[in-house]
Amino acid sequence: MKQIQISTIVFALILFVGVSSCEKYLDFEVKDKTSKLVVNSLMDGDSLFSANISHSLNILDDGELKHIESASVKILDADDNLVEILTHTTNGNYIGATKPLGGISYKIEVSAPDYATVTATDKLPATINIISADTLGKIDADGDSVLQITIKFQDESSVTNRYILELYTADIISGALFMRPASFSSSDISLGGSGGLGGSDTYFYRQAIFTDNLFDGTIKTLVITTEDTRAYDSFLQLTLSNISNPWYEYRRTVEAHLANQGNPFSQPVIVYNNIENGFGIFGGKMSTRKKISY
Amino acid sequence: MNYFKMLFLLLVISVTAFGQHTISGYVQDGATGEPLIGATVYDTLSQKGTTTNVYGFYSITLKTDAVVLQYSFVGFQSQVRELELVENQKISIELLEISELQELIVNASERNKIEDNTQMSSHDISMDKVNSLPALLGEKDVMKTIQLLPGVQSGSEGTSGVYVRGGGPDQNLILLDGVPVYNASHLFGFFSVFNADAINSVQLTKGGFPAHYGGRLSSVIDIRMKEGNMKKFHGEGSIGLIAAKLLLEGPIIKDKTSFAISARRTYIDLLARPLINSANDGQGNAGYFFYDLNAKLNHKFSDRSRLYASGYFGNDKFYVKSKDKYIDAGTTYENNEDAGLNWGNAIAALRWNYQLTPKLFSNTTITYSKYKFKVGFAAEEIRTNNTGTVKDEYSFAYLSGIQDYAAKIDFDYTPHPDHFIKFGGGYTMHTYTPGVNQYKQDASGFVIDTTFGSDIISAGEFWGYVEDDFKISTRLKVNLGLHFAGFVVNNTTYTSLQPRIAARYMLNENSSLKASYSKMTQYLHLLSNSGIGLPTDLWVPPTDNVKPLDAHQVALGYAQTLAKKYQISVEGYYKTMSNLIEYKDGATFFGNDQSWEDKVEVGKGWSYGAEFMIEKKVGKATGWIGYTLSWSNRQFDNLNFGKPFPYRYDRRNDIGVAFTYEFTESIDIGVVWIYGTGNAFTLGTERYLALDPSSLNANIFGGGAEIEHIESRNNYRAPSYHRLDTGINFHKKKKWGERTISLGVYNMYNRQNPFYLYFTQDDGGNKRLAQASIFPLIPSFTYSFKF
Repeated sequence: MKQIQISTIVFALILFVGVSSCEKYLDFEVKDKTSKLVVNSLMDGDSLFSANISHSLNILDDGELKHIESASVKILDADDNLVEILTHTTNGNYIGATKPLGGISYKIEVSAPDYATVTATDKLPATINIISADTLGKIDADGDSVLQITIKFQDESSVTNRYILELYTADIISGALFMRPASFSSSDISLGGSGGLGGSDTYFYRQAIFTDNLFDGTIKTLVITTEDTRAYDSFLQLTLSNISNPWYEYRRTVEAHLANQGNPFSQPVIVYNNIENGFGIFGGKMSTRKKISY
Repeated sequence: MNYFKMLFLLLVISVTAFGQHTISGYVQDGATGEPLIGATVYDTLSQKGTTTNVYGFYSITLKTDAVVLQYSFVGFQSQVRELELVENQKISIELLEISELQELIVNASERNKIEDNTQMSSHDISMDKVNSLPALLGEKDVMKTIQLLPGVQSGSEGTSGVYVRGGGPDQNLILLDGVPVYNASHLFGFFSVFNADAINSVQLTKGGFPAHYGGRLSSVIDIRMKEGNMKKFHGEGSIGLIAAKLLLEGPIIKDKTSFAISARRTYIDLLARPLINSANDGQGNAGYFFYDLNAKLNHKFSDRSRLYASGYFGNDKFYVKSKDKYIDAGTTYENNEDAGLNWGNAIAALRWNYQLTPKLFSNTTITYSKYKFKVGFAAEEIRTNNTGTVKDEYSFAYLSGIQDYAAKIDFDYTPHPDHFIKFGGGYTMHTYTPGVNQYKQDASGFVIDTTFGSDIISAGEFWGYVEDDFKISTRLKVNLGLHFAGFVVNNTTYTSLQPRIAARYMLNENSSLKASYSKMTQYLHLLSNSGIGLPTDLWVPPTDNVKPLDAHQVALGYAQTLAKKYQISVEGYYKTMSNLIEYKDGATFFGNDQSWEDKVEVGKGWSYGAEFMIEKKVGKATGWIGYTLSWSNRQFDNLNFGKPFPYRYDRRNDIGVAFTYEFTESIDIGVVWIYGTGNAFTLGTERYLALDPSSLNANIFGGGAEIEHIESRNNYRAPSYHRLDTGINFHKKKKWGERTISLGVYNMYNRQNPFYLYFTQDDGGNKRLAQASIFPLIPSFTYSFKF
């Protein structure tokens, strides 16, 4: 009993001196971080100009992040000529009446009362030509039926191109078309490791994001494998998007940032931002689709 | 090629000297027989001299003439031998420690002055100093004493990791009796693995590396264990707040064979066990402890031949065990769970010293070094009913580590008092385990026994070197060397030719200018999430994709001894580092879908700064003041958008003060004060909404996602770090020996230093940035004894 009492006292002392942690508040110079406009806009060659406008708060402000509904959102061309002014719909979403054109640079300029005006520029990439997409039914090592798809496309030379590859299965039910994203895998080095974003068949299991670092200016042959659904699907659709560098960097960083929030063991991820005087993204993508009929 | 030619020429000139004879032997502590490393042997007539090597051996070749040799070592009474040198002589000397507090030892150390040495950027750490200075919880720690030196920075609060001239913790070659130690930390870095009682000498080299060192970029910490008392049986030990230790040493055959064995164990777990048992009704247990065991055997076959066998074994273990038993519907269920972390080093070395000729000394070594980390969980359920007993078992373990087998041979050749040549080579076979997962299941007839994760990698490393420390004139002395190393992994072979040069120029009798250049290559990377040397850090080799680390360092310095008591040194340095690795944004050592190679980015770093030190080694009051002004940056193409950013331990100002004072033979005090610019942290400053997730990959996150805007990596400086430690030692002679009572106070003015930062809410509900401090004012008590 006496031994336990002594042990208890000594252990309590050690706990007190060695493990006790003290909390102290620090001065953190963010008071000068005034609220800024946040522009989230993706130019898509298939869609009208659009943007979502909200505002930022400093990190110590727990207030609600609100959408800005009274902003002026202008789309300008490379010579600062007005292309159009976007109109607010709901929840800070603004939409235009025209579609962006491939190979053209655009500028977005957003202003709102009590906020500094923000701008950003980006160029909508050109359309990519998918030369062919051939299928081959196979049995894989596990005995499952798979469909191997060989895709050929021409990469533009002397510039760094960035791509997103997606695959969809399509069903026509009672005359209505239903598209579902399909997962796929590939052993192509351009889709994994340093050329892509860390393994298309694992992390981005429905989208492969990659660059042309390893095949610049050539006809790229890409082999992917997906589940063979010919018995119950109507057709497959390949979507190959040529994306701008801001959109590539934003995609690369924002997903890693959000996936690792709160994880003390992971490295912090800095999210790409190309909005001057504000935050967010003004990027572009131009998609090419290829229907693969069975 | 020019290097080889020059060295060969020097060698030939040296060897062809004639009309000379060689005096060789050992310089030892007369009381214990321990070698005195770096003792000076100086002929006062010819004004030629040399120093003993790490085994206490010296060799000096002088002209046939009268010789007056003075043997001296700091803290020991010098001895003088006069002789007429007409043939080769063997003279081994035993110096006696100065027992009285007197200043005359200044004379003894006159020849061992800082300005004389070619070597710059180097410090000998006195174990007396380590033992006199106050320490956290009374645990004397050589690594924490090293942290007080200029150019060396500590990591986080209380940890024993060292960061030398902007380098990472992996860039220090920590040698225990010549064997690399990979993880030198206990208890997540709060204590080092080195038991101060078992150590004979410590030397830190942070630049101007001589060619015999290689394999790391930033520093060499050469720790030599005690050889074992050759004269008489001796013991010492201590009991402190958290640990007890004991050292026993003595002759097996007097002056021929000796042993030294020491052990240390913490007893937090033993003290806590009754509490834990009473809290959970004996249904489980949990605890933490670490232990060290050092052992050494030393046998002298003859004056020319000695054999040493040494070993170190240390382990940290954190464990949680639980058991549960209940009956339900006629079935008895018994559940046992066992989880834990353990990590540790095992090191062994066999060394053979052989004096081939009076001028040529060899040391052949074979070594083994292993570091392992394991975190695991095992569970079993035993179900017993009237139909029988069924047992289900599950276990999961994550393992990482590194294992080395090495052989090397080193020669010291002293053909002439003006030349001290070293050459040698070696080979190490490495086996890396960079994160392997084991999963076993045997339940309901379903059996899985699988291993997955990164592949185990085997690699070979080889090296050879030659260097000559030679005097060109009475003022100019140069150490010129070449280190060649190679690394074979998978189908790739890397080689590296590393020139080393250091020079000193005597400005006058008491001051000199020094300069050095060294290229270092490191065939080893450390993948660290924390940067504080956690056991989860992965040691990984260069591969086909990840290249070896390289560094180039230039340094310029000035050294002076003032009033025969004070040593002053000022040094400036510039260092570049290439092929540094860091985890990619968002990557972590958890997650098994990728090899470690796919989780890293490769970049470069550079650091520069100035160091100032004033030290007093003799007298009642001894100690030093060190100041460092430095910058350390990193740049990775795919991190921080390619922009340079400060290293986590970039520290603009760093001050270390160590002071001891002996009032009497019975009482001495120690004071330590540390100041450092705050560490760099990465913190968000603003927040905003991400783009509508429907435009992204909806499988990864939902709507309304918020982004924390981070301006750049390591964008925030934590408050500065400073701390005052004090201690007092009371010594008393007893019939059986001597006892010492040490009282200490760590962090005397209770400074709340930041350990980590986080966002929280204050009492008013406002979001605030806060720091957690883990070590407030901490008193310590240690009872030590010697017999």
